Amino acid sequence: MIDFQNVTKRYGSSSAAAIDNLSMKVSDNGIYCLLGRNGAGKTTLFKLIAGHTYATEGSVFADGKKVSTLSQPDCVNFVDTGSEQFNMRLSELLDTAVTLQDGFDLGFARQMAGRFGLDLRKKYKQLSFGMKTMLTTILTLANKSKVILLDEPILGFDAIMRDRFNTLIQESYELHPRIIVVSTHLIDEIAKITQRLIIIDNGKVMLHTGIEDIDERAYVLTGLSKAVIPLLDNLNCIGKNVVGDMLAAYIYDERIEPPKGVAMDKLSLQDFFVKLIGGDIHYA
Amino acid sequence: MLKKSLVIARLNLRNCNAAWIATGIIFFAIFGPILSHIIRAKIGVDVGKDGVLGCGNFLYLLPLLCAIIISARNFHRFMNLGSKRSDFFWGSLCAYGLLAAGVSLANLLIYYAFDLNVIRMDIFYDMRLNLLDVWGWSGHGAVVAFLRQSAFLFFVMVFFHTLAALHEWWIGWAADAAIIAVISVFTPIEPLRNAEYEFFRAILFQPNAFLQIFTCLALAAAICALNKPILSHKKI
Repeated sequence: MIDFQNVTKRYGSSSAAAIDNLSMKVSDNGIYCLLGRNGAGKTTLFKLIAGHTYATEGSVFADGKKVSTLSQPDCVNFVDTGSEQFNMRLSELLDTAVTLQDGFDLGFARQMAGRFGLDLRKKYKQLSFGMKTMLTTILTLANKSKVILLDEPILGFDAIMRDRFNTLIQESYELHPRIIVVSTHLIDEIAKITQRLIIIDNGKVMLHTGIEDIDERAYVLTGLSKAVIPLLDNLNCIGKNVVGDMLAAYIYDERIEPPKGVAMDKLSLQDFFVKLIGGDIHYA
Repeated sequence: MLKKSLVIARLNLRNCNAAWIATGIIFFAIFGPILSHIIRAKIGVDVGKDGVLGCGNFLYLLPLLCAIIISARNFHRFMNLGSKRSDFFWGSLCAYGLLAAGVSLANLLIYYAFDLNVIRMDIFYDMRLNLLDVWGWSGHGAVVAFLRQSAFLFFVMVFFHTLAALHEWWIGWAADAAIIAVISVFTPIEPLRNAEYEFFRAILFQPNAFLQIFTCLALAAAICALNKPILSHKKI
């Protein structure tokens, strides 16, 4: 469905690449979580798929068709976070979206707005930051496109809203199974619903795998340093924490049977991401 | 496609508040003193006889400002609503067509109803100036004047839309400098001044209405063709 072929994107001729010779295919339906640090290239990746910006080198294909900025793909829906809307009543904005977007599900949009407590009589400028994000999320998710790209869709949401958002994503997916890619920094929240994981760093894909792979292979070994260190010889250690004589080693590899005195715990998605991207040795 | 274009056109015209307000203020700032002058003259106050510029001409500000706002600001709003660039392009052209016709009609109504009938040259003013007369558009009747004016305004809007779109890059500012330089350099040098004159003659003073309309629309079409690659590179 989405195919990146040696794609590089630079903003300005002399700047570093936001996306650096990236090749990747996303073809199976599912809820994907796109993780990366600030400036890793997540939004640029979305913009390239949606035809909001053009690749400096290489090509992006969506549903077999080459994406270009002038003929944006019909199968992709992406609304950038923080994007300003016309200062109209929300009901009018949704009605306009029905005309402008092919396959916009007004019923679902109104249902989402109701569940988020969004007052459709309000004008856009009367909304709080969180509500504006909510509207952007609704405008994106209510489309029946084959590919939905959500960039920081829960920015400014309170805990209850985040929970409702997760439910709605799942309901939307059950209603229209397709590719839904969610980019967020609230990693453990999205981990509850995500099926696949893409991690990018410095414009390159570091990991593209199923969430069950992380559940299975990401863990932490904790114990005295002299007991843990010998175990690491044949394991892919992505980070360490040293506290006195104690060592916590973060592993992304096959599970082992830990010896006595060494504890093995499951690694949360957030810890896994932090260690994989910035997996230095930390001393306390 | 047509439905989308019309919705975009309607939203574009509705969401150019700054243009509507600025034009309204200027229009009434001109219209008010003229009306006051006439009323005072009617009740016998000696107001003297000056020249007057038809207030309908100030409506030209509306299409000019709308073109800039639509290109520079509304574009992003439409993209944020999930619109496509190509839909925005055609929708904007629809808006410009409607606005050109609307402003042209309003100016003509003011010209025929107010300028010619209320601003009596023999009583209130020494000289009445209206661009429809200056450019020679009023000589062949209201319908021809409407078409000539609409074609010109459409060309102006497409030009300013494209120029505003270019300002995302340095080339837009270079284009501004080039336009100023061309006008400044061409005017003092006779052969260049003649070329400049021929250009303005073709789009404004051309006695042949058909040729003037054709030139304006042909230039607008050429600029539209130039607009497509600009639009495709515009950041969202």
